[in-house]
Amino acid sequence: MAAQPRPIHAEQTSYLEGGGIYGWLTTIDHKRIAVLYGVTAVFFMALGGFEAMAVRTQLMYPNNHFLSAQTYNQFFTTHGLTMIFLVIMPLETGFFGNFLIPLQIGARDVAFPRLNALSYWIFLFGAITLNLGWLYGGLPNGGWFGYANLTERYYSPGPNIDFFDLGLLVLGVSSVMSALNFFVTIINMRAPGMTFFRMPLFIWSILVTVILILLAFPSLTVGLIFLFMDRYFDTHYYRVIAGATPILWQHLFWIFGHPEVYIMILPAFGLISEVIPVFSGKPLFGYPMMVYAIIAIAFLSYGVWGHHMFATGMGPVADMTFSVTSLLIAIPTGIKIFNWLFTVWGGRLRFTTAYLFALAFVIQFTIGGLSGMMHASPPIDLEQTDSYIIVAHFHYVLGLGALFAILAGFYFYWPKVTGRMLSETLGKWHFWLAVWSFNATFFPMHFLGELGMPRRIYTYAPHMGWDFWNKWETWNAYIIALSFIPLLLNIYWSLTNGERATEDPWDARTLEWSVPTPPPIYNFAEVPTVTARDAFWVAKYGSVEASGLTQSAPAIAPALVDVSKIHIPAPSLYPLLMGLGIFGMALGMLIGWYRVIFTAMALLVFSAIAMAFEYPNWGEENPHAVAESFLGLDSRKVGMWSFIGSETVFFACLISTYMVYKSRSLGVYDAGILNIPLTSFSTFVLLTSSLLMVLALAAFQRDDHKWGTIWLIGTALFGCIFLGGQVYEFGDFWLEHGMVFNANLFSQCFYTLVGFHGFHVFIGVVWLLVMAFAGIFGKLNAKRSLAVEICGLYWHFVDIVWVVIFVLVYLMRTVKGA
Amino acid sequence: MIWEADPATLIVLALLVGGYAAFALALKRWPTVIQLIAFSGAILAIVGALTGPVDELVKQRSFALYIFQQLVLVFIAPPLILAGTPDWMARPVLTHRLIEPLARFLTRPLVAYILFGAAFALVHFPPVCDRVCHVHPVYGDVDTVLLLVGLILWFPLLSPLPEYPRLSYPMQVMYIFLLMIPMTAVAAPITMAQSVVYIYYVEGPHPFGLSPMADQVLGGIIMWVGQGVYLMFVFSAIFFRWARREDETPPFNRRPVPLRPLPRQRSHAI
Repeated sequence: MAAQPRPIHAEQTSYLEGGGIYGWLTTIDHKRIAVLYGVTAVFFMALGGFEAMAVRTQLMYPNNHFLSAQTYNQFFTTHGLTMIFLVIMPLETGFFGNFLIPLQIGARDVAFPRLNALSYWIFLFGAITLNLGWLYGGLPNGGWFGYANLTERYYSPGPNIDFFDLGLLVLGVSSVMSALNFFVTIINMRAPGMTFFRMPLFIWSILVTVILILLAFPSLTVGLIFLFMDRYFDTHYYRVIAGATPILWQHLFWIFGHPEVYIMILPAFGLISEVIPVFSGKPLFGYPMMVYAIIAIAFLSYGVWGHHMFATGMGPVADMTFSVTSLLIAIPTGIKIFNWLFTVWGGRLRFTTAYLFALAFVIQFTIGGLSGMMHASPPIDLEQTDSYIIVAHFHYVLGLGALFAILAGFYFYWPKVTGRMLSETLGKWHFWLAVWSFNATFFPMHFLGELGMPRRIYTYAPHMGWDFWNKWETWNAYIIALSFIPLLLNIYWSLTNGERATEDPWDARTLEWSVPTPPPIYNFAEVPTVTARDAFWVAKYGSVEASGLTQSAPAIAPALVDVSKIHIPAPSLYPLLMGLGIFGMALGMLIGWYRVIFTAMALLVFSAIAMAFEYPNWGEENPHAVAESFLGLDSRKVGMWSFIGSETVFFACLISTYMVYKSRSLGVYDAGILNIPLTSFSTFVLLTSSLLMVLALAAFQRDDHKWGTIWLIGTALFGCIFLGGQVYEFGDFWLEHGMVFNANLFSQCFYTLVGFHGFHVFIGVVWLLVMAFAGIFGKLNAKRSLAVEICGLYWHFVDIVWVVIFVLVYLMRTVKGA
Repeated sequence: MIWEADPATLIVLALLVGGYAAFALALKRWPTVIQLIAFSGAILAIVGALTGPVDELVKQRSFALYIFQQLVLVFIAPPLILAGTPDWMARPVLTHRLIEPLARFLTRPLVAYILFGAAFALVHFPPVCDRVCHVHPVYGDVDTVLLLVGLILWFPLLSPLPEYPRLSYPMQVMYIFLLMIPMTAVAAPITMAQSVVYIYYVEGPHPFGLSPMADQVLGGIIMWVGQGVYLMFVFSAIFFRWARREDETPPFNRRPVPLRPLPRQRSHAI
């Protein structure tokens, strides 16, 4: 992502200054994008909080009619979706992730700044899509898990579930994009000397989180695509009558859903691990074990999805398996809790608001973790499932857990973000009100659950023993709302009258505190050389273990470099336009107006192409690559690899669904219809095209751009022949055999799987042609052969996927039982 | 009771032991004690799992023990064989001008990973397995294939030769993490299947008084949880070796530490 240098004037120091509204709309600075994420998420937190208050008000009395049953369903569903996808995730990875990753690893920006802006705009429009029900048709009302087949058009005719489906699809795109970006940034952009074991723990937690996002979200995407097809194209992915099973949705959703839980909690662990050492005056206890625990949790998180499905009757053995794997997660989590306690132990404690929130997190998260272990036991879970004890559990880990960690991070990083201090007095009011009210609201939910109160009911009969606690919880929920008033006052006071913050107001340990406050747009005037973990502390006091009482070196060395020479990426409007294009497509789908869809698609394609050619030096090396990369790879290549990893899971989900549904399919069409000779030819053509791609790359690498271009065109041509064969095949099935898209399970799974692959080939062909044009105009040479190499990686990946599809779908078609 | 073995298994064992001994005698060098222990461990694991009473029970259609055999072949024996092979023994083979290009290609981490995942999934794919796994002359060949892809799979982690650098530690962690995907993809459907998926195992009764269905579930669990726990241990071992290596560099040296991988580390992506 090369960018034109832009002069920075010495007086333009803070990233917050200058640019006006247009500057914010076109910004690609990671700190400004972080602020955009933060402001958006806070807005949605208010909205989600409002929904929660309405829900609690409805539950205050038995037989209450404050909300109708329909509105209640919409509010509790949207509350969950909002808090998960629009508050906790964007605050943790969007706000803290964006703001802190480059600052903590000593980089000037993320690896792909424009992609970063694009992630934000897509996130914003996805959030709006999810909430369009406020304006028209009603909010999503199927629970945040949206269990099939209640989400089918037949059971839910309104647009509610469409908002859910399209909103989450759009948000998923945004999450995967920013995950890819952060992954590459952390792998490739670390300052010299910043080895893996010198990275702050927050960076570790984000690194593992983004790997989880990359590998978990495709599963949700596939589930949502199936739902979308069921609702719009009348397919049968979740319809029992066609032989399908709604449990498929639960598997796809929870394979995503359980890693999602760790996607929400691991960055919280990271934030806590930043706050606790600073205010304990000690380095983090057992750093390698803390890292180990994070990775171990990620390892285990893929083998536990079934514990959300004990009640579906998976059988005793599967139940036992998931129970054991779920209980195992307690071990690394326990390691973390004890290590935080040992960090506090014997330290010089400073009870600032941030520290109080962090300590409260440790205690409250432990309570939530303990009730989680109870649910991991199938017999206990069968009693507790769908009762209020589950509500208590996940509010303890997310509300009193993740949200408290976010608040700790908020109080900790506010001075760095805004340049102003917050009032500690108001902060402590906020803290004590929050601790009281959150616990008083959610702890009695354990009792209600044990007393048998089910979740998701909009009202209940009196004299069941639930009356008192419900009233108690509602009043305390109002105190939760009140507890945010000191916070708002504090923010207002800080922005208007707050004391100016110094660079290092907390006597902190990591690199982000070594830059001016608020940070200049280029972050580091001079890219630091890291010599130890807690690099800034070592710079100040000489060693990690130093007590911090005698400073050995000046904390902030004056910058000796000419900051006007620093290359920073220039702003771009295209991320916003691309976001608008995606939003327009979702909107057109919702209102069923195809002209809107095609206009939006045109906008999307136009901005994508415009963005690619925004800077003339698009093949050059990344000017941001300040760190020597440990892989010795270019950022774009690492990005392509992580994209391929994510796509692999996507195709694995599609192929598994095909394999499962083929044998369940009813009706006349089955794999016997497939035309093996034709497809064998297509396969041969596609494999040959991979060979041509290798030749093209070799030609460009030896600077032979004539033959390179010829081979590229050849590759694209063979891709076109393959596509032509596929079009002929589809047309033959559709017109000659009458196998329409939704004829039966076989036809829809076949068309979806092969069609998505064909779409990937199509994208590849377009890419190849763009490359070939660049070759014709002499833009490609040995130095830029990496662009061809990355295109080739994608092309080979698409071919390998085809080989798998050809073997499993075509060659195995006659094998009995396959 | 007579300790019986398949001819194919015996041939593989004979080739392994014979080859090891022949190289040691021909090159007139003696492996270290640890290498000898590791190699004998591999041989003992294969003998214990693929011959004698265990194999007898497998022939009586014990699915659980059949899966156990396969895990020994891909997860226990190959790392021990690699750890037991001295570099001077591997060098003449792997640097031979006819073998080297193929060996370099097969031991590229991505190739090894895909090869293993595809082979492991294929031999458990019911239509394939029903045809080849229990037809006797082929049966031994399936075991050999699994042992070979197992060796290739572990090579990037435990390469005995500096000429074939191992993966860097972070990439080793990633490699193990991604390995869980094909393993779970094979194990989960077997465990959660509603009926007996392999024709060979439909006939009962199975050893240990298990019904065919219960035996299949037990086998699936051994593959799923067994490999999961095993890979957790492998990951832990790699992680703590990595952590120790990083801690050996003094924590507050003033000199910038080069980010280049050490000479034994592989520097390209998986």
